[in-house]
Amino acid sequence: MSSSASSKQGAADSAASELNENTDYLGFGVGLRSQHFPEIMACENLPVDWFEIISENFIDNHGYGRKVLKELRSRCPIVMHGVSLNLGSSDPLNWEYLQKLKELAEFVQPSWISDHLCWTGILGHNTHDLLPMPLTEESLNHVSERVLQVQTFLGQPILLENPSTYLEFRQNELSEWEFLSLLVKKTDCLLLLDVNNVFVSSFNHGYNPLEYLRNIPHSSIQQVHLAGPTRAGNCLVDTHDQPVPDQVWELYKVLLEKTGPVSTLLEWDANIPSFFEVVAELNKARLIFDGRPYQRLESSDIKKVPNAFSSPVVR
Amino acid sequence: MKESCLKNDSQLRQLQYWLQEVLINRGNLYQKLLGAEHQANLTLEETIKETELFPAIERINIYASGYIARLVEALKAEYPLLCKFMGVEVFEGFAKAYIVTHPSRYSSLYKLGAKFPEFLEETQPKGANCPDQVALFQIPAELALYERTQAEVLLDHGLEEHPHYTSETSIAFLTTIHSETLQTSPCLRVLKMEYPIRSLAISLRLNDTVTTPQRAKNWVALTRKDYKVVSLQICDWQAELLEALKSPTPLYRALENVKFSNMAEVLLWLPTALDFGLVYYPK
Repeated sequence: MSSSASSKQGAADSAASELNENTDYLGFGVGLRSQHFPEIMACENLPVDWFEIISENFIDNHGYGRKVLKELRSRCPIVMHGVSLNLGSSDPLNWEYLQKLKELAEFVQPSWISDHLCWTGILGHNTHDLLPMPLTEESLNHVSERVLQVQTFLGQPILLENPSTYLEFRQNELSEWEFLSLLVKKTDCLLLLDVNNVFVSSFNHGYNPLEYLRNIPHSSIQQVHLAGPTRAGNCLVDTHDQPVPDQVWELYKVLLEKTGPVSTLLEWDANIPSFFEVVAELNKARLIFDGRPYQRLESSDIKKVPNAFSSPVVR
Repeated sequence: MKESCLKNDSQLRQLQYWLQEVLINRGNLYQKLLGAEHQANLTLEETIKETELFPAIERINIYASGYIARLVEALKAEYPLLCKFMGVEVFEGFAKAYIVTHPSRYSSLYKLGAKFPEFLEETQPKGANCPDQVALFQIPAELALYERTQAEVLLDHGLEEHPHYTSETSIAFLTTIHSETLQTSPCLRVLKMEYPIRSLAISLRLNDTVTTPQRAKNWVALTRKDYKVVSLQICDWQAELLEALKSPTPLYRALENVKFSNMAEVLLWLPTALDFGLVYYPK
């Protein structure tokens, strides 16, 4: 690590000790998926407190999805979550995309807008994957500058999510929690902490997830994601296709002790069960939040397959 | 392009260039890595950390294989009938070739398959002239165009929020409609087909036994009503009339652009066109 990066690590450490004073607590929500539209539209009383939409599924969508969104935004809070902001890319920011994002935000009036600490492509390409950042000082300065530009353009702080990663660059100078802590310091952005992604990445890279949770700036965590990964060979893959494993619930419990109430969302994006099964899984988070027991999975909890690919293939 | 990209490159740019090339290059993983090494001047060993249990080659493979698998799944979701018609293996072969030939430049997966019909058209073998051979390649291209058009119709602006006037074949309607201004729905698409693709698509959706249809030129109009796609077989003059009504136009003026129109037939068909949301009365 460079000396400058190491001095910044101190700043990152101090940020982690602050308590969460988040007043924008939404409760418990799920990702809005088109497969669930019929069940959701038939609900007289919604069994969730809020929904998160994938922004790209509604940009340029003037069909039934837009009608559903219009109705739901009048019934509960909506959060916009993006997968194509490409914040970490060394390409220029995509202002056409940002303009469309802003227009969607004007329609939705979301509680907040989030995307990922990642890049999705350069030279105008979009790989539609959340690719890992080189965690260097150069990257930190680059991403910070772009976060500030995006926040100015959208007129609000954005939330950044830690992605699941399967590789780390030899050139890395910072851990992911140090990188995120410094990013928060530099930009006043907020965090969407994906507890499953902490679990997946820590398993794949051999670090202690509790160290991650200890060192991330708790006061900046505005939202949490929960999901179920898949074991493929020697690694965990972020597939969002099964129940949340016990290891992730345990980490969630630890996190709640540090953050206090934090808006919590369950993602389920492949092998999608009925809306009410997804809600049943979400309700385990409510039980944990209330300090009550929840039904644990069998010991062989995480499904194993020879090959898997990570989300998002979300519509 | 590639050389200038690396000129005065930052480390961030170089690492991203290397990783992206591994993903989007043609070939197997080793060919992809060789290509990326040549293009970005980096090797796997110089770039990716590894552990004994989880070596660098397996780590990079998660991204390289996931890139293709994810986009093939997205194309399958957009082209389910084509996949059924071609068979999964053949479909995946074309889908992978398409992804490698046209790497996505879109922010949304909805647009990923936009050029797939064109790709199937372009990759047909030249010189095929026996009808069976032509059909073998032309039908998938047309079916792809049909499914792509359906996807566009579902996402475009429709008439659902527009006041709907129930029309009927009454004398009053027939006497007034001639001077009314009409316009086609924003989501209307009219396709000129060489094969009866609409009936093929219906059979595929119903899991009927499908045989290769015979060539028969036809027009299909696709639009949306109550957020559902409506597909109608139309004839030459109907296609011409819809073309003439792309912008708000009085019916009598639009009919000037329609060859072989029979006024009685036009007046009898218009209530259907209004009811199915092919055309509407613009404000």
